[in-house]
Amino acid sequence: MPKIIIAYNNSHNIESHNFFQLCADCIKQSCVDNKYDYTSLMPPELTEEKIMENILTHKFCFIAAHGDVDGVYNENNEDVISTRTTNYAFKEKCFYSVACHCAKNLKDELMRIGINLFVGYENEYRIGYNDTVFADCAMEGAKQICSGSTFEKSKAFMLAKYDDAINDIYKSLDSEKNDSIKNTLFWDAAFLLENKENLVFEGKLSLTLSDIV
Amino acid sequence: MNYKLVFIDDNMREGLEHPFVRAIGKKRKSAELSVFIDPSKGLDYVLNNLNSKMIVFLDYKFDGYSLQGINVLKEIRKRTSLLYIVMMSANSINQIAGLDILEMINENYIWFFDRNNGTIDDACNLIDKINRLWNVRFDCILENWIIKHPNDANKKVFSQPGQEESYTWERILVELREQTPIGKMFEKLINQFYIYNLTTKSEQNAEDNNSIQ
Repeated sequence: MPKIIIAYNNSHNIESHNFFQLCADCIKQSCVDNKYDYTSLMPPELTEEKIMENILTHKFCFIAAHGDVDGVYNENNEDVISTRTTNYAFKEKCFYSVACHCAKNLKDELMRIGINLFVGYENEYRIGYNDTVFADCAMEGAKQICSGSTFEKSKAFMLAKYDDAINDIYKSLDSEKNDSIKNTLFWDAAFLLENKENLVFEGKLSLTLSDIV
Repeated sequence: MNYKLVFIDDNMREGLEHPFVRAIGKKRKSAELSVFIDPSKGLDYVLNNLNSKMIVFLDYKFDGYSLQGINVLKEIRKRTSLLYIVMMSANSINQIAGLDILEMINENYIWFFDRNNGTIDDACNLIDKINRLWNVRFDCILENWIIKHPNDANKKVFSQPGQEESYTWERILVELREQTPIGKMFEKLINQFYIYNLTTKSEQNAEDNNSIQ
């Protein structure tokens, strides 16, 4: 059975740790539902060394942590995976992250190495007030991948999930009387759309997770 | 709608008595005029009034001043990319030393006015052209809205999850004009969201029409 790395920064003193935990919980549930083994890596084990060691025996690496154009970082701002780390172990593996900006230089680097799937965001990943909706959308692709869908289908499901969430919020705006809640809903929808537009889902899209050796 | 017209030029004199300034003032009565001979005083004025609609007529060469037109231009651009600047020179644009000015003129919001051959009408046409562009710019539409609906100025329209600070329309206008990250993000997300909604609605209408047929 494919093995999945679930790496996340749930260090309570960092911003967005609740969201990272939510995302990790989502993919853990998908693993349980589909009987996949997974390895959790969180502080103090959220390190380059642990990721590179584990990816050798895993097919898919999910990381929920802060990032920039060059990479993803841990609670001490150390590279977990970046353009400066040695990433050849990721060849023919899958990388999936909610880290801001990671779909820029890091994506290019991993695609160059020959990764089978890269999922990430080109710009800042924005989290709204209802972070559960944001986590559900962000993890829909992983959920579909775990359930056996091709990457292409998983991407389509993920984009549709974003659309549904945006439209549901937008519809609720009409009936909402409270200005403050209305405002919050509007921005949640706008943030979700921004994340959808920044999503990068690239690689050998005809594959499924079980095709990965 | 009123706007500021600022002349920074050591060939003029303080006050509004220079024939060029007086003639423009007569032809464009909604403009609030200011003249600065000293480029550093002009720069201070501009930077302190970035939340106003403003066109700056800026001389290229200042005799006896260390600060030159290009330096003023660069200082303004550090703070905002939205302000319209008309560079003035007695030389033709091709004779101006330094390629950086030519590069900058190719960007938006920078214009060139030939002092030797340009007439008052030419300057007024340039002002009108900028005024027409203002009509469609997000910050100018917002400013107009606030003028027409003053009660909306202090309505809280945006706050970031997890942060106490909230933004009123009035504050957003300043953020837009100063091109802060919040201002840029706000404009992008709102425009993107409405494009998305209009697209979604038009697709839904097309589907509804097809199902009726």
